[in-house]
Amino acid sequence: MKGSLVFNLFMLAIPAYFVWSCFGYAPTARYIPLIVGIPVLVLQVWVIVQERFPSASRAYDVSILDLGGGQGAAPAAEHSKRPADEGRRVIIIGGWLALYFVLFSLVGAYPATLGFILLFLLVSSRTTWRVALAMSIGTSIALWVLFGLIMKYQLYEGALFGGLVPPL
Amino acid sequence: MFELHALGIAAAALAQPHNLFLVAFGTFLGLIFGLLPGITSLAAMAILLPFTIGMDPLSGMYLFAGIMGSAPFGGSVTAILFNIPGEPVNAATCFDGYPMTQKGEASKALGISATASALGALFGILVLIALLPSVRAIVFAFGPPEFFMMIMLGLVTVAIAAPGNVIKGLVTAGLGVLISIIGFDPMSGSLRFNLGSPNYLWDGVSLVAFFVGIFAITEVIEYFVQGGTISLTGTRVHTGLKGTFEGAKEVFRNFRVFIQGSVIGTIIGILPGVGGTVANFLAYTVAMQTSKHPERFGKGNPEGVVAAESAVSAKDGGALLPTVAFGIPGSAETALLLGALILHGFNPGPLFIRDNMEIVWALILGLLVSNIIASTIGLLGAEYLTRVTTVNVKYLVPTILVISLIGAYADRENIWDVLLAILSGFLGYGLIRFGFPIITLVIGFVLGKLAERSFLQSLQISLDPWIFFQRPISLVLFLVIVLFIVFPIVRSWMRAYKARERLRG
Repeated sequence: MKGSLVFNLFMLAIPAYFVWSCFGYAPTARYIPLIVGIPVLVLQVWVIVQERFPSASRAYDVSILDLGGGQGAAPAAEHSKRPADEGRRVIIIGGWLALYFVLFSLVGAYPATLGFILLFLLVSSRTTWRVALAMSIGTSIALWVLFGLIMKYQLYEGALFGGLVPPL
Repeated sequence: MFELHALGIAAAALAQPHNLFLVAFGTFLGLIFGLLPGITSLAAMAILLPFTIGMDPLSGMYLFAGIMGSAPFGGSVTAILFNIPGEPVNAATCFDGYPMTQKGEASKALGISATASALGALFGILVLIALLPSVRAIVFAFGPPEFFMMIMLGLVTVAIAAPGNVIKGLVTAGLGVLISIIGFDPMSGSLRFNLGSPNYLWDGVSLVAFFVGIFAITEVIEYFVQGGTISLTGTRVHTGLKGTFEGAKEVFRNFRVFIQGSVIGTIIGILPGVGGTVANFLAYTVAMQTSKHPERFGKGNPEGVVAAESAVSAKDGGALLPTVAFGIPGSAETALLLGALILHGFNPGPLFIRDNMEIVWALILGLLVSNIIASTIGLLGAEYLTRVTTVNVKYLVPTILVISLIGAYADRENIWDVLLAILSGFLGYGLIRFGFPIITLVIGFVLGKLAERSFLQSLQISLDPWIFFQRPISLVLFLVIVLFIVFPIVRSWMRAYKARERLRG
């Protein structure tokens, strides 16, 4: 419930930022942001009210539009049973993603791929050295063949090896 | 205009071994680039463009047609097996293709995709041949107000299609539009919503990095959190050719949905700048709206895969129409194709199809052959591809993650796109976790910039906001939007009324 409120407030902050920023721009630059942003802001407030005070908002329930159809966010429907340590797992995968980004930025695409897959399989997946080595080397070679050999495409070399970090 | 000798020249060229090889090579590349999330067939075409300059124009066209014809099917493979669209145009294929995989019916879903892709492409090609003489009227009937209404139609249909809480669907649709307009304003030139970044967000949020994040990284996080295998635990996975051919038969069982998807794909393809992603979503939504069992969509309904895939492949034929007839590309791929034609010294426009019909036929034959090769590979290879879904995700997570993030980087060669993909992945995970549909976010993102451009162009034309209701096509599209909103409400009311009557009775 707490996580839901935090995420809903985050979802409120995004259109609020767009609407607030609009007023500093030329009229043509703010037509669509305002036309879209204000209704989104109102609707997100509605979502928060619906979820915080379900009984009070029942009178405005729009489930009449529920076609019971396709779910863009399919996993939500499919994985309704969440693991008990979900939060911990999300933080861990966040850490792995951050590690890959740091490796990618520092040492470049191929070494980062090799090191990351090897580390991930050994530490997180707890596979054997042999499997981890085979998968990490195999993936790196496959990527090199595709990008380096066939496409003659220069992947990022890494800041430590002369790769340029573009300005933000 | 359609004299047979032009067809003869193109067919004779195709019969030459090196041209057949080029189509097959293009098909192979299209499949590979289609399979890899974040790396689109457009990249393959862009990379090969310089190499085609030295080629005979017909050979160059065969190479490009090979890529264009096979990439949509390649993209559907990862959409079905991993819930990650290989190409942005395959996004809606995930919605029923992936649940089919989870139910152990991946080979059937791949069979549907291969068959619907090949037949959809054939449909688009036949329409291309039939409409070439009269396409001018269709293309020029669509001005900015009509485009704006068309985009609104796409947004509304998808927002309604998102099940459960429609309000959340509308919120994410709006959010998608807002994210898409980050960057410089096309009218005033000022930089908007850049979060203090004067360089990186100048050109807006990268579609490829955003899609890689929203689809691939979100799914990787979900795999990691859930563990196990992609096919849900306890599900019997059907492998073997029987399942694949069962899928092929599904296309004929749902022939109405196939025709409907192909028509939508072709029309969207003809309209310049709208793109295959819209065709994919619109066909899916219309199939759901018109189905007798809309409640089965999103849960592994073959109709969803038939609609989405037939539309994606049919749009290629449609997109070629304005490209060869007027020099107006119907999609990003045809824009690149147009560039290739210009590089070869052609002048695309009304005279092009009169003077160079053999090039048009080369594209048609190339697309046809490419689709046949890709679908044959798909039908025969589905059995083996399906086995990937039984592999424990602990092996798939690092591999998919690395390939996806390199794909995000490769599009613009900017390492910040890798970070953007990661952040988008967490946004996607949050949306799924707290019941916000991703489909509306994605379609809002795809259509947002187009909507803003056509809205401003419309106001420049007339300065009167009523312009949207004064032009017949625009008005008809508006009425269709109203119908799309009202129809499900009326249907729900009717159901509720009948249920009450039954209770009373």
